[in-house]
Amino acid sequence: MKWIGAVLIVVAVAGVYAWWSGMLEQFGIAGPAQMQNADEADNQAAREQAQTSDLPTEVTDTSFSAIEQDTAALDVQLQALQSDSANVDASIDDTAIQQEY
Amino acid sequence: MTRTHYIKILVSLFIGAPLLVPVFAIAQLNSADINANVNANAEVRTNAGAGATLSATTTARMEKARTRAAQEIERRIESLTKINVRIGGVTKISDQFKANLNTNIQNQITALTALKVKIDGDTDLNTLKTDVQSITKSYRIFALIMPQTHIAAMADRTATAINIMIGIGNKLQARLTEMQNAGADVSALIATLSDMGAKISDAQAKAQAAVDVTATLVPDNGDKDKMAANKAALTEGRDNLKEAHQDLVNARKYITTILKGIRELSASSSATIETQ
Repeated sequence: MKWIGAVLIVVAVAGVYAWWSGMLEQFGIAGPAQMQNADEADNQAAREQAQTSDLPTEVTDTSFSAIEQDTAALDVQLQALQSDSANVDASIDDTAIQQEY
Repeated sequence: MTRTHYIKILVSLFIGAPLLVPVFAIAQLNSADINANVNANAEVRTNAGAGATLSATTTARMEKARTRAAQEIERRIESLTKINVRIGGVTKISDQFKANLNTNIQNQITALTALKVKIDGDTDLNTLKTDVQSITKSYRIFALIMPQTHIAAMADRTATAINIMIGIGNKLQARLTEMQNAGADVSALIATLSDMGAKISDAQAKAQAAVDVTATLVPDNGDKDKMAANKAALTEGRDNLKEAHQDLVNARKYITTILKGIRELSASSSATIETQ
């Protein structure tokens, strides 16, 4: 019995070591380092999404209320684009004040 | 006439002469005074008066030139300052492009401010004329920077609107997928969503094209061909942005259509469930 117990302990320790060192990744079992990288990648993606999102609500909030807030923010931008367009027109068609000397 | 008469006449003349001379002298003096005064006045009126008139004309011309110049300079500085604040807040154009625009604007403001100080201090008409002319000459820089910057600002806002639309599109997509999985027929709405995506893609391409065609323009420095090319590029950029804007306006209508469709399908689905 002692002999069997010792073998089980050795196997368990070897298994933990194999998992820890990432040797089991080739069998589709992620090691701690890979899991941490995946977490960091997820966090990075979430951060990037949060940074690049111009939505006033959470990107995952698909409720009517959230979509209405988003469309309201969109309408503000579209309205402002009209004034931007007028500014572009005015700047291209601008004429200097006639000078006298 | 006796000898006595001659003597009386001579005595009378002798005695009367001193009386007459002063009168004559006074008359002459007065006359001289008057003449002198007239002449002096005439001199003053002619020389000083004419000088004052000429000087007043010159001064008035210079003042008018200064006023006009100040109006134009202040108008430009105000416009440049305003657009610079706007550019400071943009987030979608590249940092390099943003920095270039900022530098160009700051340089123009500095140059115009210095020019205004110089014009205000000009005391010679010819110098003032040259300085005022430099405003007109430098106008081409202003005429390039302003539309270039406004186009960049509008492209940036277009990108923001596109981002919001993409976000809304993703949410609508999620809702439609959910409904589709629940057995609802959302094919028409998915087609509309696809049309919306096409408009967004087109707007994105147009906004990018507007920036690409205008970002590298440089002042023409008097080269008429270059000036024409700049104007054509700026006009092309503007047209691209107008088309992008129209794409977004159309895409916005699709959002309304899809939302309405989702609400209607949701309502009928609820009614069906209640009926069952």
